[in-house]
Amino acid sequence: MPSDDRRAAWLTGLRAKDAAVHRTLTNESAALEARALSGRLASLQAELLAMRGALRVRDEIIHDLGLAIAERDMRIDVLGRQLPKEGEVSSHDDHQNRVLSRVGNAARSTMMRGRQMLARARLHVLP
Amino acid sequence: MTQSAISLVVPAGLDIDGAERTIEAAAKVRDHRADWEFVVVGAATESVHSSWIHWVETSATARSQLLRMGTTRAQGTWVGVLDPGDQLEAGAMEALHARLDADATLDVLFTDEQWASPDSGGIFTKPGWVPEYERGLDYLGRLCLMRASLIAAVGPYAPESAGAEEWDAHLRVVEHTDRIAHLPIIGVTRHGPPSSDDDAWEAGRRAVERHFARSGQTVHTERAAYPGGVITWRAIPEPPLVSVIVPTGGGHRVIRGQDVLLAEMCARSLAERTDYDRWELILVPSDDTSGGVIETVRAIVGDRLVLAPAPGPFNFSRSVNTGVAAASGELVLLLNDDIEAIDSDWLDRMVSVVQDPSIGMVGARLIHEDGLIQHVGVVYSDTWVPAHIFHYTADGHTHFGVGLLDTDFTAATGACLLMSRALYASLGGLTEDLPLNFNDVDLCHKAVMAGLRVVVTPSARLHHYESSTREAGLLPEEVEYLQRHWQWLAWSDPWVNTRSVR
Repeated sequence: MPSDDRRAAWLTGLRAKDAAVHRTLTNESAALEARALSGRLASLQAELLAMRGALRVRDEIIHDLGLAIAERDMRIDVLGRQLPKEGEVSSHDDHQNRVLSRVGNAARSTMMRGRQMLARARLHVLP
Repeated sequence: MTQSAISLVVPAGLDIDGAERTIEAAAKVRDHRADWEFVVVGAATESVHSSWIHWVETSATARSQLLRMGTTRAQGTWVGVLDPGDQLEAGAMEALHARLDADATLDVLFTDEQWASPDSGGIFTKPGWVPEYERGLDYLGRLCLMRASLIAAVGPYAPESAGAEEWDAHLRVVEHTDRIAHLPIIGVTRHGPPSSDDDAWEAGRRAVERHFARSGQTVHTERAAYPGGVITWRAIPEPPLVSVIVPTGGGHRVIRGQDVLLAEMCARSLAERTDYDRWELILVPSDDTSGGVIETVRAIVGDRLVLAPAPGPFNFSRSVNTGVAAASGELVLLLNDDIEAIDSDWLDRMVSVVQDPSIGMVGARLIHEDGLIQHVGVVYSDTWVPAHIFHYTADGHTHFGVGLLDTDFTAATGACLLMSRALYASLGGLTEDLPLNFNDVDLCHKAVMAGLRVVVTPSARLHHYESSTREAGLLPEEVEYLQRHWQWLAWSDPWVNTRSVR
C-alpha cells in the first residue's frame, strides 16, 4: 500500500476512535458527573461541619468570657460594699492607700483564679 | 471507639512545653462528643491528665523512634501526626470525622495548613491528590490522616527516614492506595513553616529516591529551585526517536525587534538549542505555506525533515493528526511554530518524565517574550473554562512549589506536549470537531479518562510567542462541546479548591 494510502487509512482509524471515545462520554457523562458531584458534596458537607465547629468553639469562648465578666462584676460589687461610707471616710492618707491596695490585690487574685479555673476545665473535666 | 476514630500522634521527646501547648489548643477545640485521641510520646510529665490523652513515657529523642512508638500505641482507624507546638484548628476534627464517615474506604485524608507568616505565604491551600507534586514536595503535610493498618503494613518511620519522616511515610502509603482525598479546610496551625534546611532537604531527596527505587524506576534526584523541593530524572535506557509535529502557515512575527519567520526560528531551536539528539521534524504546511519556507527549514534540519502537507481549510487538529500519521517516532511532540527553547535540556527533561508508565502526557513551562508565564498547567476557572494557571505572572512565580515542581493537571497546553505515538492513536488524536481551541484539553482529558496522568515539568523551559499566528478567541460552541463531554472532569479538577471558589 502506498505511503499516502497508509496515512489516510491511519487517519480514518484515528477519527473513528475519537468518535467512539466521545460517544462513550456522551452516554456516560451523567453517571460520571453524579460520581464527581457526590465526592464534592461530601467535601462541602464536611467543610460545613468545620464552620459549625469553629462557631461552637467561638460560642464557648464567648460563654467563658461572659462568666469571667460576671464573676469580676460580682467581685467588684463585693469589694465596693466593703469600702467605708462617705461620712466614715478618714481623711488619713494611710487608710486610703490600704483600701486601694486591697481592691487591687483582690482584682488580680480573681483574674488568676478565673484563668486557672478555665485551664482546669479544659484539661481535666472534659471527657 | 467508632469506626472513624482518629489518633493524633505527638512526637514530643523532651519538648514537653510544646506538647502541652498542642494539648491545650486541642482541648479548646474539642467537642465533648469527640471521638479522637492524642498519643503523646516523650519524657515523663505529671502536668496533663485526661481520658483522651495517652502519654507514652520514653527517654528516646529520635523523632522516627517517637513516631514508631506513637503509631504502635495509637488505637484509631486513622492516624495523623502533630508536632509539639502545632495547634488544631476549631472544627477541623469534626470535618475530618464527617468526611471519613461519608466514605469509610478512604485511606488518606489531608487538609490545608498554615503557620505564622507576615503575609499569605503561611497559608498553604492545597490541590486534591496529585501524585507528582508529592514526589517533589511533601504537600500532604499536616494534617494528614492515614489508615492505621496501611501504616503498619508499609512500616514507616525507619531510622533512615530521619529528617523527612512524614514525607517518607506519606510516599510509602500512597504507593499502596489511590483512595486519597483532600479536605479543603485549615486543619492545623503549625508551630513554624516546614523545615527546608540542608539536612531536611537532603533527607527529603533521599526519601524520594527510595520511593522510586521501591517502584522499580531508575532515577537520579536533585534539589529543585523551590526550597525543600526535589526534581527527579528518570533514566532513559534507549533514547527513543521523538517526532516533532509542527504545523505552520509560514507566519512571521517581530520578536526582540527582529522580523522572524516562525518555522525557521522553531527549526533552529531544535537544531541548535536542543541537547536531545534523536528527533525528526514533521513539518505540516498548510495551503498558504510557501515553498520557500519549507526550503529554509530543510536547510536547517537537513534530512531530519519529513513533510506532511494538510490541504484544505485550516483545522489545527487535522494538521497535527496528519503530522502524527507521517511520524516514525515512538514519541510524538506537538509543538507550535512560535516556540523557541530557552534551556537546551528541555527535551531530555520531557522524555525523562514520560518514561514513568503512569504518565501519559508531559507539558512544559512556556514563557512569553516579556518574561511572563504563558503556561505551567491548565486548571478550570470559576466559569468552567480551562485557563492557564499563573498566566501573566513573572517567570518563577510559585505557590508552594507549583510552577517550579513537576505537577499533575487534568490538561496541559498542546503548544508543547509529549506523548507516545501509540497513546495518541489509541485516544483518537486531536478531535477535528474542535479545529482551533480546546482540542489539546480534550486530548489530555481523554488520557486522564484512560487512567493516565498529565504532568507539566517546569524544568523544561521554552519561549512561546503566543498568538503570533492567529487571534485567540473562544467560540461558544467550543465551550459547549467541552462542557458537554467533560463537565464531570471539571468537577473533579484537583486544582479547584472549594474553599476559595464556588
